Amino acid sequence: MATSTSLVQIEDLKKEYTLGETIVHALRGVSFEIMKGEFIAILGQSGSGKTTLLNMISALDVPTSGKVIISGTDVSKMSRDERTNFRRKSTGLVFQFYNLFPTLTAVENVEIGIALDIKDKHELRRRALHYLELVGILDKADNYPSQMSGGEQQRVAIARGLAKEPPILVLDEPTGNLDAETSDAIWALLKELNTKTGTTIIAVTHQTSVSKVANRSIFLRSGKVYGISESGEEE
Amino acid sequence: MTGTLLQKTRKEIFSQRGKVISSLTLVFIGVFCYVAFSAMLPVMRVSVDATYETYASPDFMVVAYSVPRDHISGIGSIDGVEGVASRYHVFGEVSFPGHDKNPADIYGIDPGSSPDVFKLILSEGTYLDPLNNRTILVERSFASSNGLVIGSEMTVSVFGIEFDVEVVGIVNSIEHLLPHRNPKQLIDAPSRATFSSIAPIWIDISVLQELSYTGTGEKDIVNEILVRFEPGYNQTTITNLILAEIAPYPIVTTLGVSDLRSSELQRFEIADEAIFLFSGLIFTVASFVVYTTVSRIIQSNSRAIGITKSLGYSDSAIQRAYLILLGILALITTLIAIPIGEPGGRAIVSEILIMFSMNAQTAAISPTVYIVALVVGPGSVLAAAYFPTRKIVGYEPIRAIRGSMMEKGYVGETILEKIGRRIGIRGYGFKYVVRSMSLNKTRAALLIVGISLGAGVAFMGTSIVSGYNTSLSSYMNQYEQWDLLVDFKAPLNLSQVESLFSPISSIAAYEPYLKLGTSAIISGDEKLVSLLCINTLGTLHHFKFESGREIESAHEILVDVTLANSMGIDLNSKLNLTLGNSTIAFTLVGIVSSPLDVFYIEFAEAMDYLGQEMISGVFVKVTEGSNPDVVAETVFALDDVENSMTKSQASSGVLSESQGTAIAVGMAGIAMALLLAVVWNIVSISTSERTPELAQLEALGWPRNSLTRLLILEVLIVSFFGIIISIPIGYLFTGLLDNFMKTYIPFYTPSFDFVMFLSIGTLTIFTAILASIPAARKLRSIDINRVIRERLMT
Repeated sequence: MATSTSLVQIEDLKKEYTLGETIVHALRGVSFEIMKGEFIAILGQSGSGKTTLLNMISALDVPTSGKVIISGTDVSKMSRDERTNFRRKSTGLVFQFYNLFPTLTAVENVEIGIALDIKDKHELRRRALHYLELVGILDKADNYPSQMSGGEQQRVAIARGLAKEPPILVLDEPTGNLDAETSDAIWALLKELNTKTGTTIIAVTHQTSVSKVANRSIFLRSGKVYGISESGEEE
Repeated sequence: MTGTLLQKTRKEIFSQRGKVISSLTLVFIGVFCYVAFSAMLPVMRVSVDATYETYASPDFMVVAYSVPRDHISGIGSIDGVEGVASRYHVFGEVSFPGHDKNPADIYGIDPGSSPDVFKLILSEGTYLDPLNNRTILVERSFASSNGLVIGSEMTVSVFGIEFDVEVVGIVNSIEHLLPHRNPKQLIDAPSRATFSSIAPIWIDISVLQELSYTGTGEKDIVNEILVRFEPGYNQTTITNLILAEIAPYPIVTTLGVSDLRSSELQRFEIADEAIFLFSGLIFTVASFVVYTTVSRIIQSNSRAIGITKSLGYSDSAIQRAYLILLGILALITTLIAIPIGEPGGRAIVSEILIMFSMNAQTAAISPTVYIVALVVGPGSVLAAAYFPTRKIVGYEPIRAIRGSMMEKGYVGETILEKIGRRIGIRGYGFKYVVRSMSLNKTRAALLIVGISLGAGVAFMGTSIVSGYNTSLSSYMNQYEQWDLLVDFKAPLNLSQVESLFSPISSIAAYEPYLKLGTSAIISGDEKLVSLLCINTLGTLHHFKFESGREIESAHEILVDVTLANSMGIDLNSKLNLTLGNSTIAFTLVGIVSSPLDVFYIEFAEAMDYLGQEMISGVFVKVTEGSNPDVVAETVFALDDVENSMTKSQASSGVLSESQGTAIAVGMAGIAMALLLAVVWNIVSISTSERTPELAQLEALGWPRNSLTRLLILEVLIVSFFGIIISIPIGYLFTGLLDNFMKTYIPFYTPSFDFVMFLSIGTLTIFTAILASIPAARKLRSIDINRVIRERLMT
């Protein structure tokens, strides 16, 4: 559910990489705004720049030029350590391959994302279990990743991202490694979480069907925004 | 096997170039050390023999109490005697700028030229001036390390009298190759090395004779007779004739220098064993490092290997390719190390020999050394690489191509976690570290073993030094109840001793002893032995029995364990001793650990056979409240007394403090260098393997400092376990060197010192953390995006 408060402002964002002697223009001046509580899908083919854009929003990387303003803070000028700090407090990250720690149980995988900020061990465990319950996987709390399916692991990764109660949850191809049925379940879960918690969700995907659940879809091509559509519309 | 496969494998191996190089460097060091040490020993043996020839070293030496020189003038005429020299040897002190009352070996010789036997070779200046008996010669290395030159002035103190002298000559001498003690004295003098604090000086013999003359008997006396034999003569016959010339003057002991030479060579043989131990240790460490490096190579190239298998290459072909290439690299490393090791060893030994006034000779190295090096160098690498390459068999091509981890994730709480939970450790870092260690138990085990080996060697070195110095004082406190040890210039009888000591009220009691050299027939062979005649049941001196019992009746004898071992005698062995005009059959009833290599018989029984009272020294107990140092000074001032030593002086360490420190620091340094190499290698691999996890943590918002702390925490936990294991390893190594140490001190026991243990532990932890710094620095520049995209998590 969108509100009128702007949470993320992208202003003329550009990013160039040097690969050998070639300069790759991954982003060529992207600008848009995301409101608090929105569910945004960023769509595009491989090489469109969507992952690069996501890295900027999640403060994993810095642009060559332009601005990324999140909750009033320009993260594009931050140092590496400042961005790490920012990420810990303000951004939940979910990756395509779940990236769970194989030696930790589900609840421990959630805890490790918030362990630096919550010193009370009881509160730590309570919060982790709460979010595992929220994503519907409380019964797997003591299981290791090797004992869970792909969909279950992805739910754990989502719980980890939500546990720090960030204003933004950023997902990079969250269903890229899952079958169709499980993918649909994950998108439905994300929609439910967006509605329940009011967390702003920004998801990168190549699945155009996501535009049905997202409030808006931003379409990228060759490093530029070539379209923004409202919920249910497909490009 | 195709060239393409070998080429591909070569690239895979060199994808971890740094780790491969570090592994091969350790192999290089192992081969170098083995070859270098093996080159050193033959040179040492040959050089020692050549030196004995150059300096006309004696074949036989007699130490007497005092013998008139004209009485032994016939020794030179004995058939088979090539040369004779005699001298007056005493312990005294010298003072010179910066050194007050420095202990000194003072040799009284005829001025004008070098002795015929045990030559003094002039390095600078001239021999002693016959017209000025206040001139001295100083040994070269002592002079150079103490800034003494021609014209330097010193003050000599002997028999309690001081006089000034001038250095007129600096000489090369191999006096240090003789036993490091005055054999007249009961207890060893402090150990002497070329640069040590005991000054070897030579002075006009007339000075010492004048100072020691008590007004009766001959003035022109000597107490050491050195004889050189001609080849081809029966040495036993000659020595008997020499002893007959000296009789009836009592002798303290005799020394077959060839026996000494063989015991020096025996030490070289023990050093041979140490070479194998040390080189073996380096190869063991190198094998650990090779194992982890190859494991890392295989793991990081698992996808490529999976593709290779899917193309139809067999497991054995892929494994063979790795082993062939690694074997070739190891062989090249070995072939480089060998020709560097041999001249390196010769250069090192040459420098060592110069320190001891010896010139290095040429000696061939045994071909076996090269063969062993060529086998062990590559062999250790192949053996270590075989096991990780075998894992290729378990790689499923599909999983490998997808980049799935080959290692199974650990499921279940680890023992360490359970222990941590029980003792209240709840921190996330601890849990994360021990879980990661459990994921790769082999790597964690290798790290722990590497650390424990390093700490164990360091612990061994410091334990040996500590035990070396404390063994003697511990022995003395437990078994010697006297306060002073007094040696007389010549044997006295009981009434002479009584009249000497009765005016001194601070002497509460004393027990006499006689040190005597004599011949014995043992197992049919005639040998010259040193005998100590004491009250074996007295209160001031007790024995530490290795086996057997005390003397209970006549014709019973005890022996020191080192002497027993070297002579090959045991309990109930029979010895025919010559005492006075009698030859008596004794039975060995006890074997003891003691500071002296002597036989022990009952004092009263010895006096009976000798037909007279002969007391060469006494154990003294001072009265309650008296200061032993003061009493020692009083006794030393008496005319008949040659030396008076307190128990604390006699208990001082056999190693000088600087020697002990050098040994301990040297061993600890080598151990820490090995530990550094192992930890650096394994932690680098560990960090590389865990880069995806660490990148993920940083992506989640963990600051880089926290990631570094995780790394340090793992090193600390591993170091802790390594240090615990190092204690038994240190004792094991110490036990292996026991035989070597007991050639110096029979009653040597390694000591455990808690402060030393803490020091080694701290040093180990510090070194391990230092070794992990390169890996920690790499953490600070992880490309999170790239690492996460190339995911290797699940």
